[in-house]
Amino acid sequence: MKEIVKIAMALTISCLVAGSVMGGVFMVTAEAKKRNQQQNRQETMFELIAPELPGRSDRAAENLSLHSIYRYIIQDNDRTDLGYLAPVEQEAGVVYEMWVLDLEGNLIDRRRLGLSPETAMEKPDRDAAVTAALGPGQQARYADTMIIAAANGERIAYLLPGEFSGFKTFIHVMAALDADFNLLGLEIMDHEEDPGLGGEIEKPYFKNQFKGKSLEQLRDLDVIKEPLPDDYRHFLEKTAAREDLVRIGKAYQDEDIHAIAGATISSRCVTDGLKRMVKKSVYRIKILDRVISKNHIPAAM
Amino acid sequence: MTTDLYVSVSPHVKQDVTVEKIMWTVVACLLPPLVLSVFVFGFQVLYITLVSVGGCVAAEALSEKALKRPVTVKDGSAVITGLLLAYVIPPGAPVWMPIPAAFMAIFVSKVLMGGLGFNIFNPALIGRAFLVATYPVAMTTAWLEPIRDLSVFKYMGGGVDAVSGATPLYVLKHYGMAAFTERFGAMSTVYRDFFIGLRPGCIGETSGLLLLLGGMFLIWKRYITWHIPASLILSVGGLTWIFGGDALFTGNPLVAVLSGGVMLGAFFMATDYVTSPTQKTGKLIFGAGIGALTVLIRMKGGYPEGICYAILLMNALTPALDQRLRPRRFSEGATV
Amino acid sequence: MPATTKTNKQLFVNGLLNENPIFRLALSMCPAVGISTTVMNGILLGVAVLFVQVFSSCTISLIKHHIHPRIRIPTYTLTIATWVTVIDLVLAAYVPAAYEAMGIFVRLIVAFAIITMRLEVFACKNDLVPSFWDGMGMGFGFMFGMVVLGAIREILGMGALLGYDILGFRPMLFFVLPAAGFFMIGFMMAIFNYVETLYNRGRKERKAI
Repeated sequence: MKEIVKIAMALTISCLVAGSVMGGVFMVTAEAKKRNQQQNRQETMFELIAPELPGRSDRAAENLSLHSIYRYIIQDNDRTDLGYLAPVEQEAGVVYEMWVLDLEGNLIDRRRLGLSPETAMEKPDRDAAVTAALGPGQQARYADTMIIAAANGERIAYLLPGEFSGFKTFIHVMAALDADFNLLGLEIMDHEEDPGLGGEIEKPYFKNQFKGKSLEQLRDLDVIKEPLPDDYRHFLEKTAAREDLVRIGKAYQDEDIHAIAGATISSRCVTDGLKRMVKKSVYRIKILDRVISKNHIPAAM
Repeated sequence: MTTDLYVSVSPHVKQDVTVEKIMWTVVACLLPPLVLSVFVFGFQVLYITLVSVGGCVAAEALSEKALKRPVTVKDGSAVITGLLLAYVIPPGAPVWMPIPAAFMAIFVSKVLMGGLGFNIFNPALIGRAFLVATYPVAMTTAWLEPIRDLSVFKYMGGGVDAVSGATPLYVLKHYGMAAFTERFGAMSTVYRDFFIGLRPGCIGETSGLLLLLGGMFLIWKRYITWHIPASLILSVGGLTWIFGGDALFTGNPLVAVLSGGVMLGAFFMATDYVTSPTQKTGKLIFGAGIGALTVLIRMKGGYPEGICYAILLMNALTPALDQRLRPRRFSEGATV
Repeated sequence: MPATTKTNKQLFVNGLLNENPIFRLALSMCPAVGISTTVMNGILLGVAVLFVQVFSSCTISLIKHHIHPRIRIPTYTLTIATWVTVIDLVLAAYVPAAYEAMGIFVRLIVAFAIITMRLEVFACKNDLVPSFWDGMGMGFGFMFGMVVLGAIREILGMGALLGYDILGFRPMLFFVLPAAGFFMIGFMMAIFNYVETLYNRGRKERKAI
C-alpha cells in the first residue's frame, strides 16, 4: 500500500514538473507562433495573387489588406438561413457583423458581434460570438471562408479555400480569382492521391493549366485525354524561353484541361471540384455585393 | 541429374516426372496465348516476352553465380516466371520494362529467399506488383486495341494500327455498364470476343479459350489439380453475380471471369506448386480466398483488377493453410 | 549493465556504426521507412532525433537517482514528450523556417523506440558526460542511416539528390513508396554485415602475421 502511494506521488510530481515546463514554454512562445502561422498563410495567398510582385511581403503589407468572410448556416427548426460574417467600418475601427440572409439572398437582419478581425480568425471565439448573437432555438454551423484581397481600397482578388472529393480522399485547394472573376491560380494544399498518378495534380504542369481561365471558360471547361504539347508544358513549368511566353500563352488560352496520364479521374475531380467551387463563390459574392449596395452598409471590403 | 541423396521440398512425387519435365510442359501450354497475342496486338508483344524471359534467365544465372550457388537455369522455372511476367504486362509497354521486374522477381523474391521451393510469393506476380508501383502510368494505360477483324491473319502481325484503349474492367469500374456496352458491343459479341481473346488487356491474359485449353491439358496430365482453378473461377463468378450488379444477384459472372487476369491467374499462377497449399481442402480455400479478394479489390479497391494482389495475399496464407490442414498421421493423437 | 567503461569517442562510434539504430538495432523502423524518401527528409528527422535524444539522455542521467524503478518507462516517456513539445514550440516561435521543414518530424518523435531504449539501457545507469556522448552517437547514427537511405531512394525514385534534378527522369517510382524502404533497409543490413565480416577477417589475418 505504501509502495503504491509512493509511486502515485512520484508520477504526479513528474507530471506536474513536465506540465509546468511545457506550459511555461507555451506561454512564452504562443504569441510568436501565432504570428508566424498567420504570416505563413498570408505568404501563400500573396503568392497566388501576385507572384511577380518583387519584395512581396514588404510591399504587400503596406498596400494589401485581406478581409475574411465567414459563412455560417443557421438552422431554425425547418427554416434555413445563411449568416455571413463580414467586416464593417465603424468609428472605432473595423468590426465584424453577421448578416442573416434567407436562401433567396435577401437581408433579414444585421447583428452586431463585437469581433475584431483578429479575434474573428480564431474559430472558437468566432463560434461563441455567433452563438451569442443567435435568437432562441437557432443553431449555427460553420460552412466556409472566403477572403477578399484589397489594395488601396480597391478589390483586386478573391481567395477561395475549399475542398472536394478526389479519386482517393478529399483534395484541399486554394483558388484565387481576380476582380473580374478570372482565375489567377490554383494551389493544391493537401491531398492523398496516388504518387506518380493522381499525385501529379500538385505539379505545375497540371495546376497551372487553370491559370488565366475566365469565368465563362471555366463554366464549360472540359478534361481532354490528349497528351500535353511540349511547348505548352514548358510554358506551364516556366521553363519556356522568355520571348515565347506571350505567344504560347495566347495559343493555349482556350485550351481545355489536359488530363494527367493515367489519372483521368483525379484530373476530372480537380476540374469539376474547382468549377463547382468557383461558381458557388461567385454567386455568393454577387449576392453579398447586392446586399451591401441595397442596404448602404459601410462594408470594409 | 545428380545421383546423390537429397532432401527436397514438397510435393514428393514418386513418378517418372521431374521438375524439368513439368516446367517445360507448362511452358508449352503457355505458348498458344502468346501466339494469339502476337496476331492481335503486334510484334511488340513478342519482343516484350523475349526480353522478359531473357531477363529472368539472366537474373537467375547471374545472382546464383554471385552468391556461389549451383546455377539452376535449366529447370525451366525462370523461363516460366519470365513468360508469366510478360503475360501480365500491357502490350503497349516499353520493351525494356520487364528487366527491372525480372531482377525483382528472380533475385529478390526467389533467389534471396533460398531458391526454387523456398519462395513465399509467386515471383512473376511480385514482378508485376513492382512494375505497377514503379511505372504506374505505363502499367495502367499502355493498352492496345485488338484487331477484331480476322483478316489481320493475312498480315501476320504486321501493319497493326494500334490505338490505346481502356480495359473492360476499367470501363466497367469507372463508367458503368452503359459505357461498357457502347464500347464492346452487345453481350453476345462480348462473350465471343472475350473468349477468343479479342479485347484490350495484358499480353497473355486475354484469351480465355487458349488458357482454358492449356490448363485442361495440365489437369489431364495431372500436373495440377482442378481444385484451385475451379474454386477460384467459381468464387469470382459467384461473388460478382451476387454483389457485382446494381442490385443483389444481377452481376454478370461471365464477363467477370473472362475479363482481367482471372483465367491466367486461375490456371497458371495460383497453381504454382511452391506458393499454393498441398492439401485439397487447403487448395479449395486458397482458390476461393483469391476469388473473394479479387472481387473485393475490383469493386472497392483503387485498381480495376485485383487478381495479382489477391494471389500474393493468399500466397502469404499458404504456410498457415498447409499447417492447419495437414492430413492426420496414422494413429496420431491415439493414446498408447 | 554496470556503468560504461568506454571512452567518449568509443561511445560515439558505437552509436554511429556498431550499434547503428537503423541498420543494427532495427529500431524506429516506421519513421525510417516512411520518411527516408529524400536526403533532406533524412537530415531533418535526423536533426530532430539528435536534439531530443541528447536532451532526454542528459535529463535522465541527471535525475536517475530520483526515478522510482517501478515507473521508469512512464518517466522516460514524459521526459521525451516534454522535450519534443519544448523543441516544437521553440522552433515554431523563433525559427519558423526550420519549423516549416521539421515541424511534423519533431512531433513524430514521441513514439520513437530508439530514444526510450537508450534511456533505459544507457542514460539511467551512467553519468552525464557518457550519456551525452551516447546520445550524440545514437542521434548521428540515426541521421547517418536516414541520409544513406534517403540518398538511395531519392536517386532511384525521383532521379534527384537534395532536391536537385540530376538524372532528368524518374528511374523507379517504387523507391519512393514505403515498401521500398524495407527493401533498402534489408539490403543495407546485408552490406553492413558483409563489410563487418570482411573487416574482422582482415583483422584476424593482420593479427596472425
